[in-house]
Amino acid sequence: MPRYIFFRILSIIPVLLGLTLIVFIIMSLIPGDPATAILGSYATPENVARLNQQLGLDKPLFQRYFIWLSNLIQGDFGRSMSLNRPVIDEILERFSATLILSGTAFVLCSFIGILAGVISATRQYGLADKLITLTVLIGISIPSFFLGMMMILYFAVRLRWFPASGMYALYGGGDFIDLLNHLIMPAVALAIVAAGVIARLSRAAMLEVLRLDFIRTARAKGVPEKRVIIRHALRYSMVSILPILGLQAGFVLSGAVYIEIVFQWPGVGRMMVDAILARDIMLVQGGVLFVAACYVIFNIIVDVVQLWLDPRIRS
Amino acid sequence: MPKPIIQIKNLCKNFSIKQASLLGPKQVLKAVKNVSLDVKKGEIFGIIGESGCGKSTLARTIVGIYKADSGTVKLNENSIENIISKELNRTIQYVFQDPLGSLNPRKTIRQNLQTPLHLLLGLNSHQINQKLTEMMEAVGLPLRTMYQYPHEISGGQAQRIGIARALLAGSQILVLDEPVSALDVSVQAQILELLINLKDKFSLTYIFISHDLAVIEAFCNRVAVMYYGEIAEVLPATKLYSQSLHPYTNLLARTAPRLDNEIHTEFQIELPDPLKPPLGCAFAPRCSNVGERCKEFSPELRLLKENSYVACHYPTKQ
Amino acid sequence: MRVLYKKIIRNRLAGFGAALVSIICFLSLITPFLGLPDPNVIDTSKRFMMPLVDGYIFGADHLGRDILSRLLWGTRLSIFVGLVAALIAASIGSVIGILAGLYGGKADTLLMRSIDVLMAFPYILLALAIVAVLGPGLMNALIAVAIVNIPFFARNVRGVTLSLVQSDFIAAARLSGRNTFSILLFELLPNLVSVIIVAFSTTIGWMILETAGLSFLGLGSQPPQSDLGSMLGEARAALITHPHTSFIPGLMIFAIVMGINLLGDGIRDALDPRLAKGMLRRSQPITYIDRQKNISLPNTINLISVNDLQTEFQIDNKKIKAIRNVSFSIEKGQCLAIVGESGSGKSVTALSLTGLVASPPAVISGGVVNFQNIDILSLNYEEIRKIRGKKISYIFQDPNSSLHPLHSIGDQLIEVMLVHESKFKRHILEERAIQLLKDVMIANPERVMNSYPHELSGGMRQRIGIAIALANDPELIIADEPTTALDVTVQAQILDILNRLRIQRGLSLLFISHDMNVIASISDKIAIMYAGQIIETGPTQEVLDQPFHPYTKALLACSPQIGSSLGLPKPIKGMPPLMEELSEGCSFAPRCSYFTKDCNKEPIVLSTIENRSFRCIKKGSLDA
Ligand SMILES: Nc1ncnc2c1ncn2[C@@H]1O[C@H](COP(=O)(O)OP(=O)(O)O)[C@@H](O)[C@H]1O
Ligand code: SF4
Ligand code: SF4
Ligand SMILES: [Mg+2]
Repeated sequence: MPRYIFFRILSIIPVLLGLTLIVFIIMSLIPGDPATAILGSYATPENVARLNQQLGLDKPLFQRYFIWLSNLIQGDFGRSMSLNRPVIDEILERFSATLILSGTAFVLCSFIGILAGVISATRQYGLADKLITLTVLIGISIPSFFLGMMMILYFAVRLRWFPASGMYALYGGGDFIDLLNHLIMPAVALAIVAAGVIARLSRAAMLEVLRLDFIRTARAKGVPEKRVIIRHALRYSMVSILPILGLQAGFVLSGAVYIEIVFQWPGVGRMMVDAILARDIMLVQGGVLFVAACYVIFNIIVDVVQLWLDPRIRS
Repeated sequence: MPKPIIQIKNLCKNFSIKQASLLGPKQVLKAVKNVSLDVKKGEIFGIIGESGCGKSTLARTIVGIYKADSGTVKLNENSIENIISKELNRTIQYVFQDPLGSLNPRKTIRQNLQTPLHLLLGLNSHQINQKLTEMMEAVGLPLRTMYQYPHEISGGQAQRIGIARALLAGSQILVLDEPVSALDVSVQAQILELLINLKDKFSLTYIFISHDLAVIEAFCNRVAVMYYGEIAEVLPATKLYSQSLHPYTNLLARTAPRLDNEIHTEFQIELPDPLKPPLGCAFAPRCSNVGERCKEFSPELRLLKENSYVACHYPTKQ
Repeated sequence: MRVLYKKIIRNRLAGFGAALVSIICFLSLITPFLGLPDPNVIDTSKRFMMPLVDGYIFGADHLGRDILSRLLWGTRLSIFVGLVAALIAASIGSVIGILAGLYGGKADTLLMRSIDVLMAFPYILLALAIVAVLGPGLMNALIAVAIVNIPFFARNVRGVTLSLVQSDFIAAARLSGRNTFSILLFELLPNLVSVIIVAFSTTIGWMILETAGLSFLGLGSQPPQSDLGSMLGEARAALITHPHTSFIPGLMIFAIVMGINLLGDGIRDALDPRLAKGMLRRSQPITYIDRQKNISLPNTINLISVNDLQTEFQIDNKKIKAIRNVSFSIEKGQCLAIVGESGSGKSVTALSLTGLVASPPAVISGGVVNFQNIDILSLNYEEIRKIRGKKISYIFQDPNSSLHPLHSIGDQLIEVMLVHESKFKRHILEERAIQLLKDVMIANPERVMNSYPHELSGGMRQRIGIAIALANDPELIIADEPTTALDVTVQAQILDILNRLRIQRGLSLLFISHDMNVIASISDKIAIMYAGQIIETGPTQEVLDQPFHPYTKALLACSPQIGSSLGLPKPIKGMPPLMEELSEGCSFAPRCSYFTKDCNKEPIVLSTIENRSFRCIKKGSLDA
């Protein structure tokens, strides 16, 4: 098993390389000449050529890739034009905000989703099941940005329970309670959609498992029903729920982009949208790389947990 | 003496197993090892062995579903590699173990059945109609069955359809892979009876696979006993119960349930790891006759008595 | 198609979804003909007009544009873009999936690796990157959303294709002269269509959401063109002051997506064959019991005696009687074998004894199970649970599926002791588990304790099954075809172990099999089942020597026996009857060679001659 984990971790490397390659290719497809973009349209041809040489843009594509890659490895993600500061500084600052938001949302949605799915499956066609099914349906059909906006209207403007936007209060904030206060609404808005998907698939997985032979064996052994549900059925369902959690992590990271905008959360998603609108390519590229790498690593963790859950793939 | 209709020489079929990791060694499972057999025209040739011993693989290689890794299969003295596939399909056909699984679930029985008539024999729709009507009668099914979908018919009916599909290709040789194992005894007996009648009617040759000794004994002329991908013994079916020479065949016969049987005690029953073939005879750990040569040299199949071939260093005296 | 349509309509939620979707689609189709004001005409005097004022049904937005008109035009655009994106993703994805699945090997690896790399991006990153390259705009957003969704289709379709390609009917089609191309066209596609439709209908709502999302971010439709997403995006600035401008487009997106999702679920449920058979019903821990009142419980000296047991399945408001008036008894230390063809009700009988038949659809509708002078069927769940695995334990047919694949052998053995006796320390239970493994002849039990079922052979797994059944020293073991899935040599071993342990411990055994030859050696008494009834019982040897029921006789004649030199087994003509169309009289009548017209008159009662009983009017005189 340690051997497998080792290889699995080793296999991050080609994936990350592939990732950088794709990002590089996509970015080099961008029409227009970066040098012109930087210097503005009044630049003289000599200046453009000089800058091109400085940026290494006169070299062949694959050579440029390696130069770019080795810069990346040394932590040099280039410079943001619109913010006029190194990309890596900006991202690191923003990334923690995104991580707090999506991490919380992810934990929330996994927990709520699986719980709802299990309850729904064990009470199939009962009242709880119907309520959960309906909630799930609303959850997966409502755009998260619309949901967020409505939450602001109701909980922030009307009831004044939570602040409407930002991560910390402008004056006097900054402690954990303040953060939590700001975090709850966006995290919930972000979690609801993903929780719906997880609940629905967990319910299906549980129902599928509950009619397998070994469940009948467990009952024939006299195992109490609660234990049958949790230790036998849910345990087995986790094997198919876990990959869904992995996928949902991607959805949470994606949804964070909208939620960050709606709640003015200072994260990477908002930064990237601004960067795209400002045509700040370096910043977009950095953001994409960072979040994708984070997602890849998360999925490796999921794989390892899967391995621990399922002895059949260990051998 | 007539030339055999099927000649199999040193046939081998391997499967490569998915590697655990990219860097791991590539593993090869030898499903069929060096099998040589002759089947005579008009014969019912049985193949018996426990699950996983390579019966189906051998059968599927003979009809061309799998490609052999080495060795040859000759039908009427032509190697199947040289026969174009449609001609091969017209010569030899396969009846599947899972009768329902071999029918396309989205098509009616009729649509399932007319494919070979259309593609292999090139018949027009009038001829197809006539052929199908004849065949439904031959396999003892009412005509309306043709307009049903596979999920609407029973296992016994589905197996009749499977046999009909194989016969419609016009082939003289049928390879039947456990055709009655999934069926209840009363239906099993019906199918066996049907097969005998069809054999006479169309002068067919059968290769009949089963794990049920009693069925093989009652239905076949000659039998090959397979163990661990190899042929252990080839003998007339009548000798199966009490005159077999190979210790493994003895064991099968002894443990086969009978109405008047006592309960048997047999302890070593695990097969060798299919990925790590042992040196010498694969049956040695379970064998009651095992001797010093067994653990080092694999026994070759040889003619020992009249009509009895055996791969064993110390065959049982009969 | 018709059936599908009916199924969707019958499903209320799906019908609601279908209605919603049709109304919205209809409205957006006729939008140009409604004579609405131009959606892009700016009138600053009408800024943020409230709904229902001045003929502005939904009011006006921050530039004084008519919201109703913008809403309908926006809906039109959103649906169109989502639909096109879904179509593109579905076609490209399906083609990739089919090719990968069909050709396998290198092509498969290559295609799927590329898909994997696409999936290594959270979807919006990819969409953002694509929009960053192509520039903001609705067309580009459409392309981005389509590309992002290709992997979903490719994976789904590939998975199904792969399993189809390996199935027997494809091999059969090849043998029938089809080449790869015609297999793809005529055999695979018909089976894939429903998969693709389901994938399509369950994702299109999602795609509409995603394109709206990109527009919301300002990366999709650019002014003055506007879809629902950009309407919402523009309205956000005035969210707090003029919520109606946000509320209306937001609600519209919600309604569209919800309608599509409901409809999509309906389509999926209608196309999924398992749902059609009601197989995805969650089964209760104990079978529903619905018996007539005042059940009398005669005292018995037997360990267990079953009287007039009836279990039915309620499917689509139909009642199918799976077992009818089943009665038998087992003395202490005795082995009763139940023999019969598949579907005759053996398993339902066995499972009914402790309420293990899956409910729904099963209902135990009558009878008494008198176990040690307690009527099991009158107990509550907790009381029955205490009997299961403790006093009555089970061994099931398929050792591959009846052990929990993720629990170690040791855990599974210990669990059955633990749930009945929680006061024991773990190490004591471990010792007992190891002893049990030794009892069932497992070599090096310590290692096996830590193994998982997939690491063991079928015969070993079944021995584990026996060990679990023996763990609490039960009074009765019910073995439902415990050797059917096994090879003969393994079967012989299992029979040997079972028989020896049973005699050593003085257990009673209910042994179920379809094979006369197997039960002959192990049982004292035998009961033959046909069409849900026990049609003959008696001491094994006597019944085998001289069957009183024509079915027993015929069953013996059609079971081949090695070394019997009887030639081919004698078939029984016809088929077992369908349980839903049983006739009044003898259920064996259509197949019976002793049939007289009296046989169909009325239900055949049980006749008894000494210690044997049977259901036949011939009273056992079956000569000639
Ligand atoms: N879950 C179920 N739903 C509907 N019918 C069932 C179910 N299980 C069994 N049956 C029906 O009950 C009858 C008896 O089945 P069973 O006891 O399994 O037979 P056996 O064990 O003798 O093969 C059959 O007609 C079968 O189709
Ligand atoms: S060769 Fe040896 S081990 Fe193999 S079957 Fe013959 S006697 Fe037994
Ligand atoms: S009652 Fe009549 S039909 Fe039924 S088994 Fe007896 S003789 Fe045959
Ligand atoms: Mg059964």
